[in-house]
Amino acid sequence: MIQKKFKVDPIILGSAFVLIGILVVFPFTLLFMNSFKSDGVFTLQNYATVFSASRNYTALLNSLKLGFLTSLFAVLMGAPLAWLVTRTNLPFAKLFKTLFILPYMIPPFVGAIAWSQLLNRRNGYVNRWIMSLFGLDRYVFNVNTLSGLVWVMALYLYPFVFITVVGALERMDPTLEEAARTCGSKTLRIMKDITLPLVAPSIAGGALLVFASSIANFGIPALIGMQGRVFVLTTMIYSYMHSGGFNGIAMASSLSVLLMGVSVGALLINNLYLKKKQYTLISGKSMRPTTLDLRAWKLPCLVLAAIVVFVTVILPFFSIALTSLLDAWGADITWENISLRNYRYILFEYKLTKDALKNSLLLAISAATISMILGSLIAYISVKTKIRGRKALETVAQIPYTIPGTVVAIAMILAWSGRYGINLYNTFWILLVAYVAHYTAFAIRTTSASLEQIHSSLEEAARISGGSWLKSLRDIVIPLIRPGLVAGWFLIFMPALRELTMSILLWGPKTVTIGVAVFEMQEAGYVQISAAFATLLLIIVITGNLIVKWLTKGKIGI
Amino acid sequence: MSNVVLKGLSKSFGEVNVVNNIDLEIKDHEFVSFLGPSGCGKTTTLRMIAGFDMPTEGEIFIGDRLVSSTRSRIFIPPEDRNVGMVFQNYAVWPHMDVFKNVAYPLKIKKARSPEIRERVMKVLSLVKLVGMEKRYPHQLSGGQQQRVALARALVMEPDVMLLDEPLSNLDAKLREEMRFEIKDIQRRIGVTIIYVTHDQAEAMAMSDRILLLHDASVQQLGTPRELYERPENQFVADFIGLINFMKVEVSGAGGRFEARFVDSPDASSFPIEHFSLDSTSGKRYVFAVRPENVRLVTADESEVRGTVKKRVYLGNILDYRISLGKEEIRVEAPASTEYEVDQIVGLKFDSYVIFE
Repeated sequence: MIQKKFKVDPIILGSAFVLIGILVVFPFTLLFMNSFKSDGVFTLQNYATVFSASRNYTALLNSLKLGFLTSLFAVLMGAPLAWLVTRTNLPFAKLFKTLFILPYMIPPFVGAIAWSQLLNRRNGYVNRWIMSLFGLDRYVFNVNTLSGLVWVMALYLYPFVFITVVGALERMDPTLEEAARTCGSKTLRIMKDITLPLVAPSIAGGALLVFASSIANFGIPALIGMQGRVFVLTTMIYSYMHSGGFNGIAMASSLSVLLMGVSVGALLINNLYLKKKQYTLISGKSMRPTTLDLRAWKLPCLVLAAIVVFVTVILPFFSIALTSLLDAWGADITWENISLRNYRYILFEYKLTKDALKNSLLLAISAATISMILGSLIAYISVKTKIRGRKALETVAQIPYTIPGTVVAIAMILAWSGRYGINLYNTFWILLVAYVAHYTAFAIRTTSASLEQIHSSLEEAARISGGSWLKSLRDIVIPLIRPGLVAGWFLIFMPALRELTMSILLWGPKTVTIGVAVFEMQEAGYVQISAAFATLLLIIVITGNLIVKWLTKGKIGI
Repeated sequence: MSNVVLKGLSKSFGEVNVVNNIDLEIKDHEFVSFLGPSGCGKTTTLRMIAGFDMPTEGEIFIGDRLVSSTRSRIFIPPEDRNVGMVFQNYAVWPHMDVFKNVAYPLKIKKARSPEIRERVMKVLSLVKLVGMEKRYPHQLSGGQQQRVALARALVMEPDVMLLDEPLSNLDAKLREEMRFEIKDIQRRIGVTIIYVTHDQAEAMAMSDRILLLHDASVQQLGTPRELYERPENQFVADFIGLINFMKVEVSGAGGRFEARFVDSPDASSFPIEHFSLDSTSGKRYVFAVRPENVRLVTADESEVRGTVKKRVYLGNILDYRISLGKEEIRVEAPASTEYEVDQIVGLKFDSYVIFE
């Protein structure tokens, strides 16, 4: 039989390959090649130059130190807390489980602002309070140091370790521990012999995630480190780009490739080595694991948990909210100094913040929508078709997510600022292209998870009944994965709304975003105004999270 | 090796009774199965004996030791009961190889390493795993993992072994093989075994006695033969094997009784034996007969007649459905019988039970 009908599927499916080529393969190949090119010749000259400057060397070392210390601190905090809420009779354990995850919802640069308000050398709230309490005439804490960076970063990222360890402890088959009990083992011995070795790969996995995230982070080292002249790779790249010039871009690209190498390396270790060691611990029967009676330790543990919540959540929230109400930063906190003036200013008077709100909203909505369409297409190709190269497509599309945003931004600048015919520099479009490249991986993950649950026979039944491929997609597949699609959209919308790392390198006079506005105001010293904007952002983020939790019945949410 | 005694054992979660007042004496070296449909309380009873669940009422003795008593407020934790347990999903530790898994109970007891080695190798040969010591669980099949679990429970020389549906995750053939092996191991070392299962064939094949549970309560305790041939109630009769239930009306007195099928008025009445009641005229009972205990004869040889509705050849037997008016009765007859569909046949009941 001769196929007369015009076939749409190859065109739609093929477009995914083309788009990934344009969005990912081209810019990153360019970045990589560029770092080896000087005056049109293939050379290692750029790397030699990078390492000849001691500040670059220091930045690399600082990044590694930051990553290592942050993961260490995050493990020391996250793992015991995970054990406390899953395996003991700690009161309000369920509530604490939610509260311990909360710090991850605070955008990192907002956390940085809060902690610089609290531990600032000159007029940090905590410093002032301690100085007046003990009558000291010198500050106690200085946040603008490497240890300050580690502190803020760990408080933001420890939920990674917490969540993975809670997951491992909850999924662990309780009979594994019960079997040890019948063998005569006591509770503490079981923890040492059975529980800890079984969750160790999860702890390490969480730690590597923290490592990769902390060296990729820009907001915290920019707002906290740069003031104290503590540079890491991301901030170093930023300052090269800021200083501009051809030399600046060359240095920035070489440093970017270096940064990419470090963070991709960490994630590779996780995927190749640790994923294999994460034992299948899922049990057939769902039984509550035996919990340890804390007895006399109950109250101390409760107090400890409350202190953690106070320090990681309440203190930063309170500090930002309080500052946002102050007429002038650094002034004494009295009723005369408190008003809603800053809010009126950012919402109705100040052009920068009004533009930022509009731009970010528009960017987040379009990025979420485009990423979801592209991402679900790729997920569909990878999960449901037998097209050759489908796994390569999925892997390549995930690259920009594993690569630090700073590197993505540099690659976009190299590719789309006119050297190859298209100039998007300083426009809305370069931001959008970067966002889509970065967040499509998110879309792929959420959609392929829902697609995998749809048995292919459902689609085959639609085809047998006479429906075309497009019809079966529209009538069967999409309705079935709709909740996943909606949740995925929000999971892109929210981080896109508060994006800073890529935006700070890509924004132009007309395309300021929320993240950039907060950052610029903070850097310019308008602390109380940026605090008001940050408070607003926090409210949006928390509301968004509640919506996602409600939509997915608590299954997804940060 | 010891006996196990349960006295008035009950467990409830809030309002729900999961186990209701169980009394049981398990002798030394005995193999007892807890059998019943899911949710009958068999696993909870086992977990109370192990010490993972605390009884709401009653006492548990292992050997001469009182390990759990609500009255004397005694509750010995699982690790101090010297009880071996094999779980449904094996619960073999994925981060330890076979040797380390099996050696673990001895390490806890601080045995010296030559002794550990000797005892581990002994049980490994008992469960046919010699040569696999260095393998990790993910390199073993389901059956081999279950052998590791068995070895780990055996190596500690427990007073009693508790097996919680140990074979239900294995495929049919392996399951049958393991049945014999577990039974064989028990015979060789003479350990007391309590075995939880929902599979009646498994329970029948292995047990000295079966405790049949339903709705949290004991339905019957007895040997497999007693449960099959002399079920004490309809639930037991129905749960074990195939059986026909028919409503009958019994009449007569003084040792001579006759029954008539209520829903099949065409069938005439037939005499029943081993029945004793003072006056039963017109009273209704349930007549229970297993398919293999109905003998098919020619129509003139019996008072009870029926019509052949269906006939299925199963190799060793012929499976007949005989219609008695409104009701149908299932009959398993030798493959040599040759009654055609629609033929009228006579029925003889060789063995049956009558329930109130």
